[in-house]
Amino acid sequence: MKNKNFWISALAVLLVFSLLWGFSENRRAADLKIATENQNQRAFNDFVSNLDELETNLAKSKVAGTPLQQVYYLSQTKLQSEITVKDLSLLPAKEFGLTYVDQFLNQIGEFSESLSQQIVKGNRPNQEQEETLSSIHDRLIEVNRKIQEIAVNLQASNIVWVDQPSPPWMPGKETATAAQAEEGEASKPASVRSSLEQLDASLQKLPPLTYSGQKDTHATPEPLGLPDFKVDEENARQAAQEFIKSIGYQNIELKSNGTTNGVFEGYSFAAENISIDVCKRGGVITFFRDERPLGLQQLSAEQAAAKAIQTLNDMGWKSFTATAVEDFGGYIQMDAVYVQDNVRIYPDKIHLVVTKDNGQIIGYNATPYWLYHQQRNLIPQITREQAKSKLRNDVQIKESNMAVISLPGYAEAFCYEYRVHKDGEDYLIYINAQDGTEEKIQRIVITPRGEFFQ
Amino acid sequence: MSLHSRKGLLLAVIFSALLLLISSVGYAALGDRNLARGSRGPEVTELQKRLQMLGYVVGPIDGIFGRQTESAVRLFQKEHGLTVDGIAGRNTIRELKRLTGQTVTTGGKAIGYKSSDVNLLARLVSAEAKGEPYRGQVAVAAVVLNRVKDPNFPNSIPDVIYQPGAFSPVANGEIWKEPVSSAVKAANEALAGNDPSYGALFFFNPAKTTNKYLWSRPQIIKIGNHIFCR
Repeated sequence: MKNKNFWISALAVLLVFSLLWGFSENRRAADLKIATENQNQRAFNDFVSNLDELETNLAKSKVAGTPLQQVYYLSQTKLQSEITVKDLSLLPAKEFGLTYVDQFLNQIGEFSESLSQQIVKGNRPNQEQEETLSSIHDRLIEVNRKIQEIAVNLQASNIVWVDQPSPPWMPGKETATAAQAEEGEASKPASVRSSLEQLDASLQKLPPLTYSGQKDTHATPEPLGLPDFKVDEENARQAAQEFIKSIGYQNIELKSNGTTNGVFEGYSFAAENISIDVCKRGGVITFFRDERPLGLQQLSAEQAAAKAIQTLNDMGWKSFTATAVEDFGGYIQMDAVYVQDNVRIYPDKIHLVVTKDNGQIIGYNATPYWLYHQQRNLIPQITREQAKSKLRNDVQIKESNMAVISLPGYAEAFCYEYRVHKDGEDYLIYINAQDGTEEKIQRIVITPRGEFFQ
Repeated sequence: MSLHSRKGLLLAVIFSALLLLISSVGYAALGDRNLARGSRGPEVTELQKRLQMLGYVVGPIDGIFGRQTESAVRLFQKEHGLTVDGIAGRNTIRELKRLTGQTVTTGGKAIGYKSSDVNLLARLVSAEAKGEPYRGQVAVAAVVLNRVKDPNFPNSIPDVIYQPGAFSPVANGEIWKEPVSSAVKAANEALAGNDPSYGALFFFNPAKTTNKYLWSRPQIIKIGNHIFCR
């Protein structure tokens, strides 16, 4: 009897404890839910108001009378478009983002940026650009309207953020998806996410926006520098074998390691620590990596870089110079940049990893070179003195060079490059050698690994 | 007690306090003495912090040079071309201090570590591809950077990594673990512009993924257990 009482009271105590525990867990879960809900609400409200502001700024940029005002509103548009992309990326989702909404917002930013840069250089928008601006604006109004609609729905009824799969005891409760927009069904979407997906699908149906100077939506364009002939696997293997020989490996037998697709379609080979890719077009080496252990540091970063340039030279890559050297301790990373008639061609670069034990190249990526290398006509239209007069009076010039730099959207500019000093800091300033405009400014900082251009 | 002896006592107290101060200041500076198994003190704490910044696993940062700190020092030495002896001597500490220093202007003014993007990228690489070949780790970092450039994705490294539904280590919290050192190295290599994936925007493990969207993307290359696609 005594024993029985003991067990009953023990169970009662346990029950009380578990109730208390459950209660506190429940409270915590509720608090967390509120916090998450607040975050989501905030992200969405931010998105709605920033999108509205974006639309307003874009409208104003269409009517601005002075170049200064127009540049101001276009810059605001650019900034606002980036903020809306960010807001969108904070909204809850189950899978990937909304590609068409993201793309559209990014395109607005890109177009307004390139347009404002053009106006800064003294060229007002032409008829075609005015029309593009108008059609982008029309599209944006529609997107904005749709988003406001979702916002009103969110206020009026408690719609959920993301569709949850219906529990097994409640079958048949289907949720609306983007597919319905394509089928043209006008059912009320169940969640914010599915409303956004409907919007995404409806944007997808519109003809693509086109304008001059836009970035290709494919990150890599057609390579300009690849030779026109094709090689078979055996020729590719020979090229790879030759490459590793000139890097310092005499007796390594490369084995086939599959193929690669895309713009640099090719053959892959491998040996112990080595992987190397050879492009079918031209049989050139696009990528090489050697993961061998590092020996004791013997060389300085400069010595290693010089050794690598020498190795390239021996392979037949004449006229390259080392830039962006970063010292990681046992090895360095650097870019070998092509130099044509004393002009540094920054787009035509080979990324290298070089050891500090003996200066051997252990990493090689020539894809930028093959993408951008082309015949270039490098005749400046303005003199060095004329270019210099475009700089401020209060900067001290420490170095001047000529260079081809890359601009957004795969464009290039042939420039005078000035390394200048002002207020205790160095900068690189690029003055276009054709029309004298200031193309780009880079700030030079010194990271623990070496000079870095911001 | 005479005045004289009291004065003497005071002097002695001041002197010993000064001595203690000097010794503790000296004690705190990393690099004044060799640190090895069994060393303790604030400079060991600093050593551990700096090793951890570069992705070397030191265990708890407790100011005690134990087994884990020693193996971290050994790995650091091995990966940086230094004599591997497990002792944090002058060369090892100088290299460690250099690589974990702040960025400065050309005039020498310190402007911060500027390493938060590298760290976040390294955490993602570590969580997604720890056991993969090094090339595959660089490729995962490159996928993030390719997305930053692509108009269909957000425009910064944190926005791409934290985009809802984009990476599973974010959803399951794996990303909060300290990155391994090869992941830090891989993140730096991708940031320097190396892309072994030839412009990939997605990657997946074919043995674990049934996602139709991923399988439908044009594939570029297989590295280790991951297929990289556009």
